Amino acid sequence: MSLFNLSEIIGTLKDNVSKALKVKGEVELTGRIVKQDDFEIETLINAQSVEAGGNVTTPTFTAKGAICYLLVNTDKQPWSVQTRRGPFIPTSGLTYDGLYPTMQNITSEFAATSSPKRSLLVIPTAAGESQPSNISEALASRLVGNQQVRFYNNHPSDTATVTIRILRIWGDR
Amino acid sequence: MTEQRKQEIISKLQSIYDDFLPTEDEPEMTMFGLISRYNATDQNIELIGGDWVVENCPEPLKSLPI
Repeated sequence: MSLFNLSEIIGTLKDNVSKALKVKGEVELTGRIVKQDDFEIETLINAQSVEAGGNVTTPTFTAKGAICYLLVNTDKQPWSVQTRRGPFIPTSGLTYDGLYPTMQNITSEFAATSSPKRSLLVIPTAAGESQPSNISEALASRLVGNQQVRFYNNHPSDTATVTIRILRIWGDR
Repeated sequence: MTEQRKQEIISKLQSIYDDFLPTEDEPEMTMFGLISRYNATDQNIELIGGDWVVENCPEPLKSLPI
């Protein structure tokens, strides 16, 4: 899936902030929420250390009416991410179906923060429903309302470092 | 965490930051890069992360880009 270049977006954001504020030198994006006209990046988990076999859960976040991508950086593998089964299914529990593509047992590291693992947040499928089979179907089921995700460090012995962000995009994408 | 241990950790993190050499793949130190390197030392028994650095460390560590 290649809808946009995250490095380009971050680079454009830095340039525009620099121009708007007449900043000399490099603009650093250190805040929790970095905003631009039609997109924003919110950091949910900031370089948290997760022990082998452990997990970490993000705070509740909201879609804010945007297309939301989950961005995950971690330095160990394998790893997984699940979402809540909500917001429209009353059953409690977690699922892999709230992301497209799913982040189940990923066997690659994503240590460069400019190149995170990226998935679209979607409304999890209910029993009997089929999961999206392509990005168009996934976008038609994009997340609305609130959600949380849980990261699992499935490495047998090493502590993982994990950063999780949300990229919200408004407009026709 | 004792104050002594806190200062030990800050000192170690500062050393990691001071020893960092930019590369084409990693042109600047980030909070992720800092904690990842600290985890690689196997000394992070308290499992500190970026939020701990922001709350406890001096500049420039506390303001590293995410």
